[in-house]
Amino acid sequence: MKMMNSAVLALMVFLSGCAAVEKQAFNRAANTSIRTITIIEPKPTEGFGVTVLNHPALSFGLIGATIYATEMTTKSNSFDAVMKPLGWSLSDELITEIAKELELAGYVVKRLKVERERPSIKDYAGIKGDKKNAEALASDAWLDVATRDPLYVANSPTADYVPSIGVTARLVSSTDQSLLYREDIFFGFSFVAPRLEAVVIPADQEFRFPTHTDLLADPAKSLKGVRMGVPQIAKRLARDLARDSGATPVATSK
Amino acid sequence: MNVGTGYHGTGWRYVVLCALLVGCQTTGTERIALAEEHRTKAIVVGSYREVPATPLTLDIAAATTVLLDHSKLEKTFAFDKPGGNQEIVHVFRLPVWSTPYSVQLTSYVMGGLNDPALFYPRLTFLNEAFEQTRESKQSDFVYRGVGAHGGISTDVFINDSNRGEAYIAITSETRGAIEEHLSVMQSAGSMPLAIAGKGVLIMWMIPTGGTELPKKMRAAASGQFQLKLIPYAPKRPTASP
Repeated sequence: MKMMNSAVLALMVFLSGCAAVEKQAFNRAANTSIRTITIIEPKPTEGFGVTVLNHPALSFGLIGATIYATEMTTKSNSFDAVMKPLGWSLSDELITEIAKELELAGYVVKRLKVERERPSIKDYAGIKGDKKNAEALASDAWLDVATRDPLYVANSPTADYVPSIGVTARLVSSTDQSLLYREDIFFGFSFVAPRLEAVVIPADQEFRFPTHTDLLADPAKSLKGVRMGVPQIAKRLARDLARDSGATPVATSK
Repeated sequence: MNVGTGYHGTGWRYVVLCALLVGCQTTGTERIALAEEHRTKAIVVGSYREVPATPLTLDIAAATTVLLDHSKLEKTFAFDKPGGNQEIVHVFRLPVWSTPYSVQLTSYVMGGLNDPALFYPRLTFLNEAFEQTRESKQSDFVYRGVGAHGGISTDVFINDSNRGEAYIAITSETRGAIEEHLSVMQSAGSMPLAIAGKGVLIMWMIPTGGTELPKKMRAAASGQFQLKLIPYAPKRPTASP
């Protein structure tokens, strides 16, 4: 049931919780002084989940919802059980890749682990006020990364299972925590979340699984399907925050 | 010129967006054919200066949005390109610069998820003398889950150093340079289920989900896009990520 709760919570965070989405593109020219970035690491991911959307059971009231919840819990738990022995953590690999890409983009990168009760941080005052964070937070900007457990999502009970990672990244100024950048990225399955206007990076078609049994049959392949998204998300973030791109100046005229 | 969709309120914006994106039941193939018609019927001009510029305004308190559908315009203008190809061009007059802001251009998928077509735009910045100062590349655009069927978008900032820019022109990306993106959105809907009882008929709406595979969004010479002018004023985050 724990897996189910986390999957549902994750969906709520990424879908329903988008009532007050603050999108912010990064203004490179206005932020050339940023040279050192501290990555505030996400809440560690705990495992893998499975979600089936547009399930007919959901239209049959409380009984249908109970049937649905039981089915999703069973599917998530059995998937997590075959994936756990592989010992892979999305949050660890994601932060390692983002740090690598930001360094390649010319930034000095620091990392900070913090205790998070929820995936997101509402107020940075607590982190800033903690003296043991002072050295890690001594930078020009903080990149706050939130993610949730990786999923395989089917758009209906008869649709293929598709890998899914969801990441929200927020860059804030270290001086006053003003928002310099905010982006939401989906890898794989594209949730209908119009107010989020998320960047969607497609997953390779090789990693679509027709049934739950197929998903469990080859854990290494199922992992590869999700894992391929990590460097692509990291590259996307680093590109958005790159110090030297944007519309290209031209010399010609018409 | 009839821009047709220059509403500046959020409510109107969604109504118009829905009408633009959902109400259109044509396929991507039909949209591409229609775009070719627009292209060949467009008034050919020799320079940006000859295209009537649509004025844009900047509200320093909120984003200003303009929606444009080439197929709804009374007149379209085009440049002659080698090989007898016309390239549709639309010019906007930027507001007088007073504060940094960004121009966000989003081009929406047309024709649905099974046969998607897309206008791959190029954004060119011009100074008062209509000389080019900057232009976008296709790689500046990202695929987003926007509108009914997704789209591609880019953000370009106009800072103090760009205050001399007076116009933006939107043309199609050069045909040979277009790398068609994949559409990865999947449909969702519902179907009615009727169950007859003793003298009553109970209707249920059963949710359904599509099984669309990722498809290349084929290039159309014209399309539907949204231009948003967003003032740049970083403030402390108020909502959780």
